[in-house]
Amino acid sequence: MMTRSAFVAWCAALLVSSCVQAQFERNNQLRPVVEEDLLQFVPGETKLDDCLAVLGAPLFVRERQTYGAELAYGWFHQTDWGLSVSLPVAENVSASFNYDELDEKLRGVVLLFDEDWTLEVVRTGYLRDLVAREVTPAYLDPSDAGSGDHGRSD
Amino acid sequence: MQRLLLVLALIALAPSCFLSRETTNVPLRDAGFGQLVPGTTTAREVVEQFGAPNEIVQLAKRSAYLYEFDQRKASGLVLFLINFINTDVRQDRAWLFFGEDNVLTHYGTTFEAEDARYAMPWFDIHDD
Repeated sequence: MMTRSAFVAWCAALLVSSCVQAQFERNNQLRPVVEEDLLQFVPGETKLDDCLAVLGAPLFVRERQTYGAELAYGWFHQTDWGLSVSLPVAENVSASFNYDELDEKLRGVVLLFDEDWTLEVVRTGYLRDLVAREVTPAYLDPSDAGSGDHGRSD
Repeated sequence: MQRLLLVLALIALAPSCFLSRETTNVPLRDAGFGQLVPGTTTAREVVEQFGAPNEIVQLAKRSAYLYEFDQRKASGLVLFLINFINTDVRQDRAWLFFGEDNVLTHYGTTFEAEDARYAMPWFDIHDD
């Protein structure tokens, strides 16, 4: 026979469950680059076609600060526990605290190419560190028809 | 009272599941990127065949076009105080590189969107 206190405990548990939630989550985003694939690349020799044949299409392509281009491959794989607490603080207002660690932590590889599409450098790590900031397109002088140089100093 | 508690317990502990699938753009696998010929195919022909790219990047006097398709599959098991959620995102991507004369010089493709799977988070569904 359940007592009144047990009933109250059940109700309290139900109420708590609406604002406290534990979560076990796996998040797979994109396929990671296999490290062995990078070993066959030789800076100064490997061309863009070779890299594209091995790694496929990159996640993004950007113009480099000085010359050439950078190709970035990225992925995010994480399995983690999380805890969410939502606390009503006033009518129609809810302060929500999320203790999940599942923020954007894209790991990746960046390949730097020169103007002739020859690989110069391979960098691995977190893309946020490898690709520091957005690059705006270089200014091209219309009178400078013959040169591949463009108007940016790094 | 006991019956009420039993009903409450069943409601509280009864699991619920969900599946969701989101896609962005259209699949690229069968779009015909294999027909591209570096040194011959022009940017105009590319746009006529595949439509407007999702992104165009200027590379000094050259350019690169991106076509992409995303597929996101999420599945979950929602219990009393704990949720189990799995999210799997895969992409089709094609980057096409053009020279100053707008003729294709290089291209790279990745077709993995079909590999996105529904699963519970304790299953390792990819061998990568």
